[in-house]
Amino acid sequence: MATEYKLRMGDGKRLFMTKEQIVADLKEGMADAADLGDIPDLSEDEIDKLVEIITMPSRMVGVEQGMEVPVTHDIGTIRIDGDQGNSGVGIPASRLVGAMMHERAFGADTMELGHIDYSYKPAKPVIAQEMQTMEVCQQNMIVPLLYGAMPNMGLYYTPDGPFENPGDLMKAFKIDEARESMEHSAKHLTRDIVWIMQRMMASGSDGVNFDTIGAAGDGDMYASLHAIESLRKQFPDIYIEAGMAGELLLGMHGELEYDGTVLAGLWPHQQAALVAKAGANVFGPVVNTNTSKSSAWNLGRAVTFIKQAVKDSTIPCHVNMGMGVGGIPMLETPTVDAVSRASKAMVEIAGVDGI
Amino acid sequence: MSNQEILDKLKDTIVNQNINGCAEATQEALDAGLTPVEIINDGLSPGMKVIGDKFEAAEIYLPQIMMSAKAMNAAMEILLPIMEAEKGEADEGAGLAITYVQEGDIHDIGHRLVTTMLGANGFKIVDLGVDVPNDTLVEEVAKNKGKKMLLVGSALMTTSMLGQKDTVEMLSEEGLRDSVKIMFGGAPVSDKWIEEIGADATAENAADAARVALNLMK
Repeated sequence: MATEYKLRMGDGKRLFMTKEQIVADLKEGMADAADLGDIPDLSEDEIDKLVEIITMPSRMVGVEQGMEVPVTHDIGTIRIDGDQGNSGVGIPASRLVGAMMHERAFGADTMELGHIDYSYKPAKPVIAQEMQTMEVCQQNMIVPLLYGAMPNMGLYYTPDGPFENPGDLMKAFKIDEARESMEHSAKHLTRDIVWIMQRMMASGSDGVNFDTIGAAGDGDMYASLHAIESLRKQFPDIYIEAGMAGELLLGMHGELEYDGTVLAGLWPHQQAALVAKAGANVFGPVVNTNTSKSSAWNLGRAVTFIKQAVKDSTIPCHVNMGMGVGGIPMLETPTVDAVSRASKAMVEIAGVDGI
Repeated sequence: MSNQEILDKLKDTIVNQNINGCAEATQEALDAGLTPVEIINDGLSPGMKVIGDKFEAAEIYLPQIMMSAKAMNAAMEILLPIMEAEKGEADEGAGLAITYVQEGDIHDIGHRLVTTMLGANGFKIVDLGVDVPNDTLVEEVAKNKGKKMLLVGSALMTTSMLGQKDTVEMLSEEGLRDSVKIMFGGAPVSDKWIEEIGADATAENAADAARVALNLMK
């Protein structure tokens, strides 16, 4: 009987596969990415390396010595204090304590201050508190501390915001009105992000993290790119990290352009150029996990996409690794066997600059 | 203009999201002697197939699909009264399609597109709307028992998708499972899920849904 290795499905369920099955799934995932993104396959050597990583007997694996990369954290300041619904562990602690724990105990190379609502729009009414917290954190920390939140353009649509919901308008076949609503929302989102970051920079922030760009489709990306461009002009030394929400930029509008490129339908390697053009320092590409496929399938696919993004990007790529992205199963607290294997593969095969 | 040219023009109006043009081309086709079935099967549906393929390839997006569906609707407003008059009340057409969005889910753009496409392909429609409890579904199926019937459920979220399993079980418990074909759709629905819960089919997109539905009802 052939040896079976422990893997996981994309939803985290334990799975046992033979080496032949693993190779088949890796190649199938790779082919899916290559087909969708019109990008090259991985080489046979790279497939072999992926098999080696997946079949390592240790529960947890790490990168080879000398291949360590920086790790950047997002909402980590409230990961300590937050409950499971907020990806936290429920230990009462201030945001300062959370940030310092990541810096001094967990080895984070950069850190982020984020509000519990974690979108730019709800940070506006509490901007004074955000500014004061940033200042206190900066006085106590050494690693670069960014201010971060989700652009989350959905908050500008009814019932949460002032503009009519494009989903409702589209259902009524009011396509032009839906697009106008997205364009208005994008302008307001850009304005709000810039306004918030002007104040956070005045409070000593080292930069900004755009977390989950494109969550509300191409309008979300359009607004974020314009905000990046504006911030770069106003603060030439600001550190800007631009992380994506998903692998494919959804065309909710369908016709928005940036620098002559239609935003809808861009894959990670195509998003990288626009993010760099707008003025970001770091690009955070995303590949989504398919919960109905094995972790081998997902990892083969994710590494293929990210390798091309790293190749095409003119700025460093810090790949998004966490629940449901980067070949990691979709679990609130992703398992260490899957996280460490996927991370090692991203560093040693895709060649990412950071995580 | 030859019949093929007329059909190509119809197809182009769908592909190019030309709403007014589609209605005009439909009238032109009728005036040229083409039947509503020919207009739908050889002109409008191939156009929607192109739209479905382009969406799959991420070449077009939701707004463009909605515009094409609207163009198709404009044509169907002209064709449906003619088809109904020709068929008479007793004719079941392709069958009765009961369409709905699963309980706990209000995402209905996909549901509306599929409903439009089924109507365009000769199904009589009972649209139960969104957030529909399984009890309502069972009642509706019981009410229409004996008819050529297709249940078409949509769920965008994995949480609401789980309710589809209960739908199949409840219909079986009530002795209604053999009275109806069941199709489920939505982002999380896969062939494996359909097999697991004992439903009959799923489809990749609205255009594909119409094709699958017609095959299912043969």
